[in-house]
Amino acid sequence: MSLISMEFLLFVILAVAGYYWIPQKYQWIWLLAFSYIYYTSGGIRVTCFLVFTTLTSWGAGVWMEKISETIKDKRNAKRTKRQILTAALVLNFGVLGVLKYTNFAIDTANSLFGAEFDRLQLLLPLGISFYTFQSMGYILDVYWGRVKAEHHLFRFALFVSFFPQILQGPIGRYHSLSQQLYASHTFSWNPIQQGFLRILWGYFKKMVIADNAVIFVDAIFEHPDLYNGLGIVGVLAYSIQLYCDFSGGMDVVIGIAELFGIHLDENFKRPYFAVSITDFWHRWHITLGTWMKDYVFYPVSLSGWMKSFSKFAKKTCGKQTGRTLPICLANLIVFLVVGVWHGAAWKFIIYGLYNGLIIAFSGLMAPSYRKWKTALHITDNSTAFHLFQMFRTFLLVNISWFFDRAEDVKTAFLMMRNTLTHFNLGQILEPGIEIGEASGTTYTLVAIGVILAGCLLLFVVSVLEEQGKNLAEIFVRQHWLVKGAVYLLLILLLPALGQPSGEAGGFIYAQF
Amino acid sequence: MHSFKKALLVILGILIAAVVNFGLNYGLIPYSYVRIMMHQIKTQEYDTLFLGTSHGLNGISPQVIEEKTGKKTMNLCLGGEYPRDAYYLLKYTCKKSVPETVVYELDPGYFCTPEGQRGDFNRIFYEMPFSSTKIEYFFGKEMELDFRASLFPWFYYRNQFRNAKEILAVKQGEEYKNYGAAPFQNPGQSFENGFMRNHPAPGAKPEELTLWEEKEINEDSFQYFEKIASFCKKKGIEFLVVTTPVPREALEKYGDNFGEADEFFTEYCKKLGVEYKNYNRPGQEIKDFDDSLNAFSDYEGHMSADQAETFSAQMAEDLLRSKK
Repeated sequence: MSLISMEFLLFVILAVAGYYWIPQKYQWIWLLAFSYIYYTSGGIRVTCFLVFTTLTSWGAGVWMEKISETIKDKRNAKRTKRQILTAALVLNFGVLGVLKYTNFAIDTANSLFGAEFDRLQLLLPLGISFYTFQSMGYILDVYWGRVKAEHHLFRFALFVSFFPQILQGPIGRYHSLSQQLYASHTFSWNPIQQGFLRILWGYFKKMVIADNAVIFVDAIFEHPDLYNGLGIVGVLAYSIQLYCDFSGGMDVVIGIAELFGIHLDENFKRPYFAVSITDFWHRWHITLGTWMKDYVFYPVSLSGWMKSFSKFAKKTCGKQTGRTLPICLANLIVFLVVGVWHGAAWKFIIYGLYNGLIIAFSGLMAPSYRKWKTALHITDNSTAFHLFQMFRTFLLVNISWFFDRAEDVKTAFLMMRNTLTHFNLGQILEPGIEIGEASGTTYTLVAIGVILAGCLLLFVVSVLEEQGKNLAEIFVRQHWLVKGAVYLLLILLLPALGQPSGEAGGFIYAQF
Repeated sequence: MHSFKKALLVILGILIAAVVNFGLNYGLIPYSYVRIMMHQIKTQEYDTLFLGTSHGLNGISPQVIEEKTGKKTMNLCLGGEYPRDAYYLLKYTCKKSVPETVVYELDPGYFCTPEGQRGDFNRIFYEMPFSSTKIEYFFGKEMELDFRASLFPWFYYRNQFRNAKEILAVKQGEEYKNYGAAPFQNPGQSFENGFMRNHPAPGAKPEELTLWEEKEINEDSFQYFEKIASFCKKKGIEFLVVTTPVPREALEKYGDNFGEADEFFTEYCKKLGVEYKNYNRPGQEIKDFDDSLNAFSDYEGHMSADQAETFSAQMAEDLLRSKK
């Protein structure tokens, strides 16, 4: 059931209406039922994987807590808990790994050793990366004693399967999400209005901006030889598409949760205003970033072998570099995992490592940067320097998008090279070269105008939000005529300026 | 009270949106011959019904069939009509009267491609008068589509803003009110006598055609095709399947693919117990039929009006033979 389908719309209306109509103590059961109906609509077989993750995570959590209570010998208890944790992690990440990466391993083996292994026909349950990470985060939290285990299986099942977020996140945390899911919610107009506005805004970003940009992106990235002068247009269009698609999807998801009175974690905070790659990852796919920080970066940084490495590095490279190197290494590992999480292909691994390397390099170079800034009389408050940092980060991010979107690593490098050597913006309007065609709309300056106007609106909204203004709250306080006009305008813009979305709801991150 | 007022405002908002939406539908969606077809099946009874794709729309003259067989005939073939659409069209037609014979014009391409999002792909649903079949159709098709397809039908015609004046003029005219076909009389193509009369211009013809690809089958198409077959069986309707001829040049170029498709669908129809006649099979004769590319608009097989009439005469004879 795609997020833009008619059935999803009716499904949400029914779910929300029933949620406030039934007695409050049954609200969480209602949500669970709808979550499973939603997921099962994708097939019974894929639901088995969800049930498996739910049962193993729930069982592991309860078991680990019981061990803590019953085994008095702390060392013994810790060892047993670790075994349970390892088993749960291996089982769940194992399922994810087998389903998602087996064919990648087969392809790699075939190309490296000239073997001819056949690819396997494997099921890939939608959202498996998201719900696996969410569940594993919970198990690790229970293991570390950060949260108490959930003893009620069905309540836990709701935490894993909450329908708005299961397909494309945000990756929820048990301590912040669970209590909201199980709590009673009384009907109130404000969350409904805010949620509805957020949903429309999300659809606007997706249907009007991203889906207009995607035609340029597809044409240029799928025909890099034909459009060799437009690499820069392709990557800029992709940066627009990816952001509007993913953050638009998040707006829809968060808006729907809002209708139930549930606040999901934000996943984006104006990422293109970032002043460094580290800052970018604090603003882009935030819940994945914080998950990586808490469950990969810190455990790796604080592990025994990393401490040994730190000692070795301090001894051989000096105190300053020796202190930074382990952090750089941990970051590289984190971004390697981020790359692998994004997909089963070398280009994603390169994408992850590229980000990790920049962050690692920045960490190593930080003392030098400080010296240079002092020498050049650059202050951190300088607007010009701030803009320079934003531009530099945007440039670096766009380079990474070449790896993310191009067919393979080789094509990514070819397109980057062409961007520098064959730049020819005129290709976009050359007769005989068509930039796609969608439902009778030939892509012309009008379509470019729609993208630019959409981006301008997005920019204004982002600037206001960056200044700390809560636009949703401001909106709710407006006169009903103003609110009605905004709703109506957004509703009409979706068909008037939007493009038909592709299959599977067209959301890029719904395929993870 | 406060909540009641807010609920009223919500209803008012929905009403305003509905009025604006209605206006845009009226102003942007051009008059279509699908409206005429819908009116005809709503008001008249037919003995023979043709369902299928644009090949059938261009290649089957109901008038010729009617003259030859003496049976009142309706051609409901349309470009972009997948078996799912055909199934609901058949059900809707049967509300007025159950035909004796249903002929499904089979284009293998429609069984191996996803249902598209072209401007007219949702036209049948839009033009179908409100009925229980339309509700069923909504749940069978619209529910899975982008919500804009059913909530804002003008979405697929949004680039018609420049033509709104003409669209409105046609819709306010007598032809529209009386379900007339005069607005569809163009030099190259005209909707006349219940089918699309093609007048192909000489010269190079488009070569793109969707070939049969067994690996890419659209399961929904097969499911709905089988639904049509079992619906006909249940209602006591004779159900026949045909594939219209394509130009000789296309057969020469893609002969193997046409052969594979024929083999597949012959076997498939046999399993279903349905008679299948493919006019592209070697040895199939169509009296006085010009199968050269000159008589078609393209390689895909959209034939000229003259050839359509010749072909329809042959098909009428074959229909009569199958009855015997």
